[in-house]
Amino acid sequence: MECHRIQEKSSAYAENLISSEEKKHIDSHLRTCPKCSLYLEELKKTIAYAQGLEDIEPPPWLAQKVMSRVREESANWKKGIIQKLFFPLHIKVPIEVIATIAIAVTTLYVYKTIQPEMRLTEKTSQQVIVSEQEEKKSVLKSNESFYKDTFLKAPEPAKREGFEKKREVLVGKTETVEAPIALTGEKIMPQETDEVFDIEAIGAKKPAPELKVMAERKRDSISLTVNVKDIRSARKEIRKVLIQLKGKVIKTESFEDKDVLIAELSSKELKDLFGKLRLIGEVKEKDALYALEVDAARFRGDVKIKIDIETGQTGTANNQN
Amino acid sequence: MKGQKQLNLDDDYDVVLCCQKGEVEAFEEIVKKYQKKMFNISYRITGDDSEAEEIVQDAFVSAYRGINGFKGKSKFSTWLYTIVINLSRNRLKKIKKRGLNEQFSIDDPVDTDDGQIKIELASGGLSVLEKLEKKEVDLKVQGCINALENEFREVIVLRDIQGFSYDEISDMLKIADGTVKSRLHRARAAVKDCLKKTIGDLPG
Repeated sequence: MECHRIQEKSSAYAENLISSEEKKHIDSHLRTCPKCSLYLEELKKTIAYAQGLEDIEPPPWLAQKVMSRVREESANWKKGIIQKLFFPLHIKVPIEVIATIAIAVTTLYVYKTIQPEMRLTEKTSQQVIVSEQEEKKSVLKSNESFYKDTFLKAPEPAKREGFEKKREVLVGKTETVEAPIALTGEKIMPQETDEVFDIEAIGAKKPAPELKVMAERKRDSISLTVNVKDIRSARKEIRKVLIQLKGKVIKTESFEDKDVLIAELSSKELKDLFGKLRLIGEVKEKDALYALEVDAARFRGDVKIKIDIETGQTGTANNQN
Repeated sequence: MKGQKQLNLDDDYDVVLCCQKGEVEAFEEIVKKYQKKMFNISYRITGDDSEAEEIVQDAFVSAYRGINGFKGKSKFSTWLYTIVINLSRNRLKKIKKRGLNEQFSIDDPVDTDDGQIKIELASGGLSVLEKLEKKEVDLKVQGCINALENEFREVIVLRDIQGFSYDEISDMLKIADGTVKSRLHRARAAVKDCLKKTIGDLPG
């Protein structure tokens, strides 16, 4: 037992890492125990052998090789940084382009939102049919190169503007619809100036309809005119319809010759609205309504609707050639 | 020494700073200074000098890569040695798996650069050592060390062969001081027994 303990301590003893007390104890044991003495002796020799192992020289080329690897590391690391910053060109550059476009589009959109406030004051019931051709030309001139690419990459906002134009062209015009422009209108960036157009139904070739639906687009709002027999009941009906379609009636005004209802409705319900309006009043200008419906599919979110309820007559001063 | 922030007392402080700033060439000073020790640590742990050559390179490159992460919690040299010890240990595990480094036994040839030597146990306890040159004894000793389990190998290499202090060893191996001592004793005892088998009674 004792010998085992002593032997365990022999490493520390050999290195003199024990207390003097312990040393005394071990010394006295060793004096009487040849086994432990031998053990200790052999252990000391072993340590000496190990300590006697000489260092070997590393190969002479080792330092050079290390340095060349390290230099390579350093160079790669610097390259790596540049690569990270600029990324593979085919990813980074398109991202930058899209980002620039997004900013440009957003800016324009915001700008246009501000515009109507200026417009409302001067615009009354004046309808102006702006020559699509002129507009197209001017827009193309100023924006062609920049926006051509834009539209390939950022279709959404562009489409809205484009379709707006399209609708304006289609609505109110029949045979005179300039289809090609409408189509290309998608590709044209709406210019910063006025894009509010009142286009009316030209009844030149058709008999004046009892119901005239005139669609006018003001940003994301629609104005309709419904021709009915009885304004008051029609108004009630229309209100019902709007509520039915989960719309909100914001305002109603009564004038001498008409009622005006201003409401808000989800664009998804527009089609239903038109259908129901037809039931309330007569529709003769199917084309216009159809065009509006077609276009309605492209609206998003809530739409503000202004419904003019009128009776009989050729309507209002909205007739213009 | 343990836990002491030595950065400002560290001999290598200036050089390390240069390297951290990206001055590649400053690293050469480090390489030249420490390559021998690194090489020997690796060689003694793995028992294979060609493996050691590779390991040392890897260790230096690894150190360079991570030099910005050196915070001065220990001496730079300690940090450096830790890297080479870890790499050596890992490589050793792989080598053992491949079965190239087998348990040393009495009749096994000792694989060295100088060729193979067969040991015969002298009967009657006559010391064969007197007939062998020190070099061959050294080879035996290394052979016996190679026979040790990894953790015992490391301590005896670091303490008895490389001469590190218990504190330094504790730092590098991330083990307690008491653990170092007990492992060391077992390592020495095992080498002792192994040597006795190979060269008989150990000459004084």
